Amino acid sequence: MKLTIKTPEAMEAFGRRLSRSLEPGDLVLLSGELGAGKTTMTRGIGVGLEAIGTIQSPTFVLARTHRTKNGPKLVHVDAYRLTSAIELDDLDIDFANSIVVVEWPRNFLDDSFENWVLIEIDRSSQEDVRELVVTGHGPRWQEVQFDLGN
Amino acid sequence: MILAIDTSAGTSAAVFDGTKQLSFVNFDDRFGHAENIGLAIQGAFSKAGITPAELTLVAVGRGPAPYTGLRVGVAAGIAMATALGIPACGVITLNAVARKHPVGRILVVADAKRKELFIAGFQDGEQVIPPSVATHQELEDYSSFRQVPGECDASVIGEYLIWAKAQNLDLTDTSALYLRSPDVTPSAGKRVTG
Amino acid sequence: MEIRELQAADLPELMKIETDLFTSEAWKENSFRSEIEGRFTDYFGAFDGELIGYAGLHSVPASFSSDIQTLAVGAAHQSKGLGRTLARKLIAKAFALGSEAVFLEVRADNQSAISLYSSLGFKQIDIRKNYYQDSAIDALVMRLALNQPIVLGIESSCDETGIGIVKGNRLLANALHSSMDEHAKFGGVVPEVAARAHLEALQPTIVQALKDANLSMNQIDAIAVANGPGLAGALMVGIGAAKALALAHNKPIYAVNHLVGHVGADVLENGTVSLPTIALLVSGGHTSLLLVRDLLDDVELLGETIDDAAGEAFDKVARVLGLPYPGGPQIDKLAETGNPKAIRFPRGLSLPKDMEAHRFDFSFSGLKTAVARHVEKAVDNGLELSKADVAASFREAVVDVLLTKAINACEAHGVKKLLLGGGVVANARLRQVAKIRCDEAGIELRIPRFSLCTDNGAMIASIGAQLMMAGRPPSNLGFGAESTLEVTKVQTL
Repeated sequence: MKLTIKTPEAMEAFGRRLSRSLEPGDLVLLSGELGAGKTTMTRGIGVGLEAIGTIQSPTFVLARTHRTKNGPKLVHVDAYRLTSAIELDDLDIDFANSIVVVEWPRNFLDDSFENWVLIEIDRSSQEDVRELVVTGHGPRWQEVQFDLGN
Repeated sequence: MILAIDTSAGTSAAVFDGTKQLSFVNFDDRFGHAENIGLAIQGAFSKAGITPAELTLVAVGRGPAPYTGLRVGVAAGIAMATALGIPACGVITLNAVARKHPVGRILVVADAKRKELFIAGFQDGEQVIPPSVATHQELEDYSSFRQVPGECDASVIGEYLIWAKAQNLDLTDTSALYLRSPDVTPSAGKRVTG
Repeated sequence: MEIRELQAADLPELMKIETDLFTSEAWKENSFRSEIEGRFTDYFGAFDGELIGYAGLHSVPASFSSDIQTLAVGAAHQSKGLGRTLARKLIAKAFALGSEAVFLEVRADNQSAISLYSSLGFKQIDIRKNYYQDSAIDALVMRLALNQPIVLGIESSCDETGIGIVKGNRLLANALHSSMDEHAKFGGVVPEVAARAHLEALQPTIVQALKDANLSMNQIDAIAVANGPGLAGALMVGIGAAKALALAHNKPIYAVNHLVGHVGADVLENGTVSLPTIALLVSGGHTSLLLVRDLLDDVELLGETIDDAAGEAFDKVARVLGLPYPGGPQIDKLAETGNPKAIRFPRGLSLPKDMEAHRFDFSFSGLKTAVARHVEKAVDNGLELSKADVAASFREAVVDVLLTKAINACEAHGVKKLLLGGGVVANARLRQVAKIRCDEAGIELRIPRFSLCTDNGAMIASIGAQLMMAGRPPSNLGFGAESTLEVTKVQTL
């Protein structure tokens, strides 16, 4: 599905609404250029999941794991600096029990993953406007209707 | 007196006196290695009724295994050995497990995540396939081998160590064993498009 | 009966006892007033409804020593052990402040005092003849040696393994193994297989630290380790090592907060941390503003980044400018020939609408995007682009917002001290502007030496030592890594 987001607040709100559809084992891939709003959306997801700890860019640390008030862990990954499969292994993410959000997924995705949601964010035109394309891959997302609104 | 540590699966520690195992403490949790490592080692000491000063050697499992957890055991083992001024040895988990099956053609198989497996093949105790990564398909090439689960712990590590020392094998490498080759290429500096 | 710190309001009662006991040699009220209000003095009073005794300590942090200034018990309350209680209070305070020796002078004819101090471990080291002029009595100079704990601290953030050793507030060793040279460390981590390097570095770094401190492992009194915040996998290596070190010689272990560790660096630099203070911690992984009233019990997070850390912003802008990683030193080099006023880039979260919810928070995401757009527009329209100007203006924006908020925090909380920490302190422009702005605002600026500002083991050891010196219990053996550990949690039990 496609939609247009007009402000950073709306981006965060989108993330909150998205989080309602997420379960442990889910993988969300955020693709977009610098400044597209990936961390902003993740912040919204974090709010929706009641994550503990501020959602901050994981570029430096590679991954930040947040406990949530009553639910699965939220793992926030920035794969931009991952240069090898070894480093991915090193992160040792507890996929089964976590909701994993990955920025710059190009270095992250391989055939071992069966299900994921890919959100492509384009910040082409005016200042704050973003165009989103949301696609679910794999049997997990076949029947899911995203309650995402606009 | 040997302290064996392994965090390739759960978190475990064992104390051996010569060839005799005096204690074994194991935590099954696959994710609590940092939490459990101190308790495992401390438990192994007290169950064996020994003080750390009596140790002469530390053995650590080098994997292959999920690395975040594996490194906890290796770090603990190296630190313990350094603090006591005694040597540390590294044991490859697949080899250690194989030791328990010294007869026949066996393939030790462990989960490598990402839909792959760590394998090592042995014929009557001799290694014929070195530790490597394989897909499920590739496993079919080894149908002549009897598959053995590669789950390891400190007890298995310790027993292997005792045997290996008697064979004068070189176990001085305590680094975590990485079998995957770096296969993801780093991206070139991308132009931020408008 | 309670013992508490003396205040100016207690002076009238105090002077009654003072003049009664010491007659012609009694101190004047003004002297007491300045003592009580002094920065390096601690005065306590014993109260049983009213003031019945008092004692004062003066410490000299840089010399790791203290002096007992006075100790007095009202006539009606003597020979009841109150003197001993007050003396013990002062000694505990001196210990907590990192003193390795406590000095005092006592009248040679004051047998009961001499006996008291001797029984507490004081030894006579000198005589000052005719010291008490009115009575021509000598003063005995006495000294108590305090054995400060020796703590080994482990820091294993993303890239480095740091092992440091302290004795109380005294730095004995700070060994660091890193795959990058000092300059490249600023603001970033080289994404090689750094985790593997952790394990390889462990033994040599421990050995180096012990060698530098001229100690063996069994002389270490306690182990301290940072268990968060940071990358969980890296922290776990440090935790595994620390627990083993503790068990090897049956020593207590303290799990401490990495961010608070950065404030602990100030203790090692100056012999004591000057409180209360605002602390601005800026690195690749953190950008946080802390209010520290008590290093162990009262650390408050005033604000932090809501998106990128400052160091990350440098890395990302470097990407935009086509510079290699890590970005900090690259931007700095380019900025040298650039004009910091050429482009006015946004200072994140500085608008009036941000003041309520985000007054002391930071946001570099908008700045990063603004730089990206500026560069793209120039390239797309074939305009001239001065990368040096962009670098200089970007850097200026970062430094501006960091320091504006930090000084704002000082003023809002009436705290006239600012401590800088974290790897981004390597940025000379940040240090330069910090000095200028703090001087203007009358704020005392403290920047520890660089090796204590970047992630290091000594600062972790320092927090462990503070906990021990304050008599806090060690952590239990079952603690784990917490990648988002709150700054209010200095120690994980």
